Amino acid sequence: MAIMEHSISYDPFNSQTKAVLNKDHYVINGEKCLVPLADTAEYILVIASTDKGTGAFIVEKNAAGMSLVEKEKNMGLNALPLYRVAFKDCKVPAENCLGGEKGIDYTRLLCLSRIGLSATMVGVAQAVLDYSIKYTKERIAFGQPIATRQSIAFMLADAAIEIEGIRSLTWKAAWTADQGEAMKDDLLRISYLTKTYAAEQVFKIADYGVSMLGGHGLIREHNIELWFRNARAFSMLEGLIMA
Amino acid sequence: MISFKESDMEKQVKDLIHGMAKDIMRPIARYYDEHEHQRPTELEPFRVIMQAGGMGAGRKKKSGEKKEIKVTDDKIGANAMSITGAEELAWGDVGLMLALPGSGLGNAAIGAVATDEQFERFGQKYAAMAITEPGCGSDASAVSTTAVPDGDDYILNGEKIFVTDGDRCEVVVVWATLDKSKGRNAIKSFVVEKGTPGLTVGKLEHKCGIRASDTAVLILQDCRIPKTNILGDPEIRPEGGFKGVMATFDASRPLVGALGLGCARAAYEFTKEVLAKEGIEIRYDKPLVKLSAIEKDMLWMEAQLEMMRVIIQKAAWMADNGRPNNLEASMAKAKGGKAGNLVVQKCVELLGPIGYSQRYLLEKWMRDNKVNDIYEGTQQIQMIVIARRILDYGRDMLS
Repeated sequence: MAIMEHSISYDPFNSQTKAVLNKDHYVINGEKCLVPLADTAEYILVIASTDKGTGAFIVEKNAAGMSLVEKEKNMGLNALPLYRVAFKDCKVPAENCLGGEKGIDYTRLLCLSRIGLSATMVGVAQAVLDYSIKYTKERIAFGQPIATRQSIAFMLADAAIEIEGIRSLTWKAAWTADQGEAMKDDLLRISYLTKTYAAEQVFKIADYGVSMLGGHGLIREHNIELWFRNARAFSMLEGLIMA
Repeated sequence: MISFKESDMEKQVKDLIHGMAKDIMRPIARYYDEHEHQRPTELEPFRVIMQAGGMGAGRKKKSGEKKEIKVTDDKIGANAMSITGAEELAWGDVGLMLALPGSGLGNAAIGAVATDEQFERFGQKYAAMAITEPGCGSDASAVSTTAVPDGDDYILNGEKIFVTDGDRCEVVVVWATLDKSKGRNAIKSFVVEKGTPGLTVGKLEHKCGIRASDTAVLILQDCRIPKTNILGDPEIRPEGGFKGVMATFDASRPLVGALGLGCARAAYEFTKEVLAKEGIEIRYDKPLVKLSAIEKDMLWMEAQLEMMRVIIQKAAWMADNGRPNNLEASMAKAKGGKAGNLVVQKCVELLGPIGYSQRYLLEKWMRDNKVNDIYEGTQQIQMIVIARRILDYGRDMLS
């Protein structure tokens, strides 16, 4: 899915990539960033503004007017190839508009994506905590495992509380989504709060992890430095996870 | 998995209690903040509710019945109902909530461990809990009040401080040791009726907040009570005696978390109303660069409130559904206490002179809420409990 754009004022509800209907096809113009697997994907689902709101368009590989600008180089997420993709008068048949003439419930799509991202963050945070617990119980300093020191133990406890919180909140957001129409109005609110709060916490917890491992937190023998770099991504990400 | 669906019963109880909190508590909240130690007589209508649902809460079975732990998923039990009620009452006023007859930990302890005969005698009485002493607070195992058997009686001696409802209660559950040399397992709880010779109320504390609730010093001087007033097992056993006493906390800690949540929600809602009058609305669909600092703070606080609620709900849900919740109960208390204070204090900060002025209740809520991060196990004690659990450490490894 191509949703994000390379701008500080990027707003998922106001895509600067536009799709204009012209008889039997749409013409797409704009540039997307952080598009996963764009080099190998057979189709890319492109999010673009239309005169009716926001739509999603299925663009086939090798479509005229679509080009890969470059492979993104980021701090983390390096296991996933991400690309900048440009659209210049890219013609897409009208029937490739997802959901047909009616389009899709874009807000719901975004909310589901945010919930999926939140679950991913819970996983990263839990991985950091599990690793840190094991490490701090094994690492001896001044004759005792460092986990027996309150300064370490309290970081672990704080991480455990926040993970319990973001996990429960993610469940609640997912449950809200499952209620469909009945809780439609609350879905945007709860998924927004969950995603932004989880993003704050997962990075904090990853940072704790690095701190608790000390110098070992920064070297590649331990996954902590990798998770720390990956965790930074979540606050800016939208739409990488399709729920 | 926990269900977030609100049952009709929960909804009704919530609406009823919310209405009473709004119509009865809010109008008198300032008065009792300014008139500390005066008993709020307006709270009588709540007594019926407390007797129906609150007093003796947590009493699930008659003693002697075989304890059957059935693990379920969707039971909405006494714990879920009490946290729902507690949030609404604390939204009304934390101090007045604590001044409700039967709201204290004493009633919870009696409900949890009393025999049928004891429950018959004390179950409907307004019970306080006396644990803390001048020489022991969080380290409850250092209790030095003594209980010495004498014929058919025990004789209690010692001093208890910070006893919530200590003056107004009808009975007090007192923690005392049967034998100081035997350590934690010799600590038992005893029901002492008000008016028993040898039990006197010392001074009443003057406090930062929750002034509607009385906090007393109790003095026990050769206070003689019948042996039938001991709660739980009268024998000193090498294993697990103290754990039984501590188990009450698994039910009460989420409840205190809910008090922090209720008070913080009140502050947040008030702040949101004031901001709305200034034309500041909270939006959920804007990127970071479009948000004002105030809006960002408000969103952060709202996330805190949501998160506190789900953690507390989960701890209560586990208790209702036969799952051990010692870890989650401490998490609920730690988060509810800490985040509640962060939220209320942030609200005071955002509203400037309106936050600081005594024309509004916000400044009072900030004072009231502080205690929710202290009693029932301080923030730091909860962190120790949580850390021990996740590290699988005993007290010898982490204290």
